[in-house]
Amino acid sequence: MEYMIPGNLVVAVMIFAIGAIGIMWRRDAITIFMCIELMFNAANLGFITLAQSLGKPEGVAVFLFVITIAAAEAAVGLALFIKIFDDRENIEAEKLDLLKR
Amino acid sequence: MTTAQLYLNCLPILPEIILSAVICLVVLLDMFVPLGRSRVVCGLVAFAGTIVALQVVINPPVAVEAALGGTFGGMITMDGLSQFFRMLFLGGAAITIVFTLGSVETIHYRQGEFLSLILGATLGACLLVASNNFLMFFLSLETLSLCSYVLAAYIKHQRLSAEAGLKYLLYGAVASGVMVFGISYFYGMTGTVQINGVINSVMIASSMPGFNVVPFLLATVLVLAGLGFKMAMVPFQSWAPDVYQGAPTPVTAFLSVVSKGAGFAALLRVTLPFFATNATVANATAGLAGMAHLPVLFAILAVATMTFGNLVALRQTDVKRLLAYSSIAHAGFLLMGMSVFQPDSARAIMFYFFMYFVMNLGAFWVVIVVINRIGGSDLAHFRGLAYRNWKLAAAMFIFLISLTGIPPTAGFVAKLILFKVVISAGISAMQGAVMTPASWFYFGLAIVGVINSAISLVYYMKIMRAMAFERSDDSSRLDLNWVEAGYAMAFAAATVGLLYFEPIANLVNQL
Amino acid sequence: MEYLHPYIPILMIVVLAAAFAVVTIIASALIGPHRPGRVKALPYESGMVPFHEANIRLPIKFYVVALLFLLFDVETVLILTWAIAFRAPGAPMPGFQGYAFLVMLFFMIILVIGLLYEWRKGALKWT
Repeated sequence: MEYMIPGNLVVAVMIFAIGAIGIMWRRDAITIFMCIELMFNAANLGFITLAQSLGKPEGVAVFLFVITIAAAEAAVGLALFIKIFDDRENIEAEKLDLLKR
Repeated sequence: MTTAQLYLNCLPILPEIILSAVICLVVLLDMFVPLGRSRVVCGLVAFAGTIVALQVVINPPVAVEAALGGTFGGMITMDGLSQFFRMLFLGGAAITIVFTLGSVETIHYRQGEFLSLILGATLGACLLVASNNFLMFFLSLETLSLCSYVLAAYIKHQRLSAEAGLKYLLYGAVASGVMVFGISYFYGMTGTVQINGVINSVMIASSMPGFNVVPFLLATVLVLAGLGFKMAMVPFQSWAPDVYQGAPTPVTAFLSVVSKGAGFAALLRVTLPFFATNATVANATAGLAGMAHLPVLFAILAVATMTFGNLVALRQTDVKRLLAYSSIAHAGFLLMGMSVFQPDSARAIMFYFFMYFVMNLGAFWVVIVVINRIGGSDLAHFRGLAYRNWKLAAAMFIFLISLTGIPPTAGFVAKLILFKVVISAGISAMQGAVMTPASWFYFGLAIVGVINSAISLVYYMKIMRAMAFERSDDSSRLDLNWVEAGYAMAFAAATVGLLYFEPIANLVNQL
Repeated sequence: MEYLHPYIPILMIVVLAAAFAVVTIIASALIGPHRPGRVKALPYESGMVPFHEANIRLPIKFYVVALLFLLFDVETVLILTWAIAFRAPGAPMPGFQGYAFLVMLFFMIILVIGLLYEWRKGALKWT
């Protein structure tokens, strides 16, 4: 199955690009956050693909920890979203302008 | 390797283990000590734990050289760099704990959570500078970041604080996502996540003919995005002013010192092998074929960062926000040292950072006192401070001229040493008395730095003018308690006293 | 692009599926009769009258429970891999399992402190 590996990397780059474009275009903070998770998962896909093709297990270890970190980040993020939503009934990133001068 | 050696691995990270234990202890204490006493009890335990950890860093149980090979299979490395920055981070944490106890912004909450988050962020920073493995590197960076997000949003009833936290989280998560992707590129190119392994492979590959520099530069830029976010470097700086303004002031002080320091420490850790190569713009092609881009890249980033920070700071009216832009500008000055890859320039960066540490914490303490007593951090709240309490105003005056880099202060020495590195790189690039493009480059960089210092004087002057030449409506005398006055005096004394910089220079030279 | 050839059938299925969907929608819009009415616009054409907004708010407690679950769920990733490695043949040295056990013990202690904290803060209470 050697020939499948570069294909996975292409998919990883595509997922990363989708995430990056989504961050720039979307206004909703939750959608932005989902795009960030896409970026993490693109890196994850890269790591496990490379671990398989290089025959070195470090990539899998990194993948496991990146998943954990992404979950922790989502937990902190969701808590903040709930807090902000309570406050102003929407979480559109562009309306967070109290601090802009 | 025997089992005993497995357990001995834990000795070099003893300070971190102590910190983790103190975090658990503080969380437990916060749950079971009644609300009235929890503030003092948790504060004391956290402070004492940090001091013990600091003590262990200063007098390590194993000699630093013995642990150089790295522990935990080379994941952690203990050298002069990690010793120096761990000392700074733990010191910064101890000072932040003291700030927290003295600030009214955080007074209405259970302190245990807040303190354990500060200690957690410090733990991340300490491990970050010691990590020699991209997995460890990423994990500790995220420990630092996640704690900082919550800290920035800590004042629950204040909209500004929650908004600052959310912004910090969104920008930070993007930066770390990009960084992980860059790390996966490095892993793919070199087949390892060990930092020194990656750097060695890249250095070997780059000296081969036909080395394709594009994927390497791409991965470097991706990883740099994650670090640049922590350092508030220019394309990734947009979170800094908002977060610095919205977060509680002790947290702002912590972010501007420990978090920014962690970014620089990590950058030094990743680029440390390069500093031994004496690569400058002039001779970069000699030892590091294909990587002549790095000094140029850092010089461009330095110029962009300091110019942006200084120019935008000119029209700020909130002192916290102004200090945020000033800290962006200082990141630019620190990056200036990265344009010369010599052991001296790494030392100059660390030296500069030490001085920045002292004077910036001092300035933020004055802001905390003003918020405590006058009720805000706007420029208007600083009006006539010199008449209301001349000691506080004098301390602020000292910090501000030190941040500018005017002579009888620590900031001057720091800038002097940094500029010396850049200018001497320019001189050594000259061929006889003939200027080469490389020497023009370095002299130009130094001149931009000097011009930027001059610009920064303008906005620091704004605060000084408000303190000395403007009158506030309320001109009653401001009585400070001994803690508030004492810290301001102590930091001011340190800022002037560090003109005698011999001990710090010795400390840095151990690297 | 040699390595991509196993994906070509998948790609063809995706294209066919998308084309079928698009063609069906366009065809029904072109051919079908249009007689819109108020009753027809209701979500349930067949009788049930809608009585309130469809997108209601769920109580915020669900989110808190989801958050807590998320964290403890992900710890399983680490514990499972640890468990697989624990009994794997070829341990690096004789006393390795004891060491690994101690490491996991500390991890669990930290988790239990987290659980205690949630409990004490009342995050696990439903009312």
